[in-house]
Amino acid sequence: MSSVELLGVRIRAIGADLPHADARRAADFLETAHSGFTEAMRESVTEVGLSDIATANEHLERALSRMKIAGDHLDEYLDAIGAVRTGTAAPTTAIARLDDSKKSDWWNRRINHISDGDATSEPVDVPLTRLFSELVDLAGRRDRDAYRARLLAAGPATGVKLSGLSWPMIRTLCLDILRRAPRESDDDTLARHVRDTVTGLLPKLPDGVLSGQLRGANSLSAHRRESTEEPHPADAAAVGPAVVSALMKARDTAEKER
Amino acid sequence: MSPFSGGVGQDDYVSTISVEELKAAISAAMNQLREGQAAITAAGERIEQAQQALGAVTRGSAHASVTAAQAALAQAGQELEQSMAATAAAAQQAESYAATLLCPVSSCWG
Repeated sequence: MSSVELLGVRIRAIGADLPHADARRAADFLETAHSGFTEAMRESVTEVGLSDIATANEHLERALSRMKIAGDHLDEYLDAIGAVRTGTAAPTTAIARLDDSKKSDWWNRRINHISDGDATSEPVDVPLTRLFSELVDLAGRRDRDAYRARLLAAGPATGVKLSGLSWPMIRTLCLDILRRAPRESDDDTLARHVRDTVTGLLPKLPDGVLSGQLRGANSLSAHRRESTEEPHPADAAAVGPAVVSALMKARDTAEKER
Repeated sequence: MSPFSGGVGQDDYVSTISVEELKAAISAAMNQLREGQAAITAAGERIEQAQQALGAVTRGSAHASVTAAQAALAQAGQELEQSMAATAAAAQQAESYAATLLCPVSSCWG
């Protein structure tokens, strides 16, 4: 891995680790607390902390906004050092075989198929790192509908680049969890950490895609019984943030247990 | 649980909520507030880690995007601190109010 690629991996890891999910969870708790106090005090003229909770939520919204801005600047920096597209060779090659005029159709069809949905979405331009971070958050919340909607809105042009962000992070997280380079014998252990999350979000993902992504990210050879055919580019793109989210949880759990 | 009148309501208004119910509702809301505070703390720690990591990875870089990202992270951290301070004020108010409910109903509201 070149020094630029390594720098890119580290910057991406910082962007993906920004605590959007923690801040949103905090906002949800505060909303519930606000409703609770409002209900409790409905027959009173006393006001118990409602304006302070509202103020706290405003600060949380601003913190989230600043995190998004930070993520955008990290994206700009990745662009500047030419590291954004690292690792996207396989999906790009596969896409090149497709008719450009049908790119959105194939993407939408495939995302709906593997997530077992039938949704449509207006395309939304979003920086790649932010998209990745949002998908990791949604995966952590196991929100399949929102995860699907975000992928559909991103469209194929941005969506297929997700693999390029996922693989270095998967590799880093596996190293953190195992505290050594993954081996072929770690297949079951790593798959166990991520299977529930992936199945919950992408119930119709073909067999072999998950283990193929884990092995590919960790520079291990494909399993013998797996097809040598390249995975569908949408499959590889969609599964990445889900795997990263599950591995982040597994890493946090492993660190607490040590 | 017996309903009480006066005290927390308007004159000539009979409350439909008992002291025990009120205390339980405030306690439940306080739990949510504490969970929110825990999440804010976690977010603040991760912002701090991100700042340190970015500083370490880009050591020596004066690239405008890096500087802007560091500034945005610092602002995010400040907003989280202010959010935490506001929740602390809310918690203090709620605890003070809840404390007034601890005294016997007869002495608080006659």
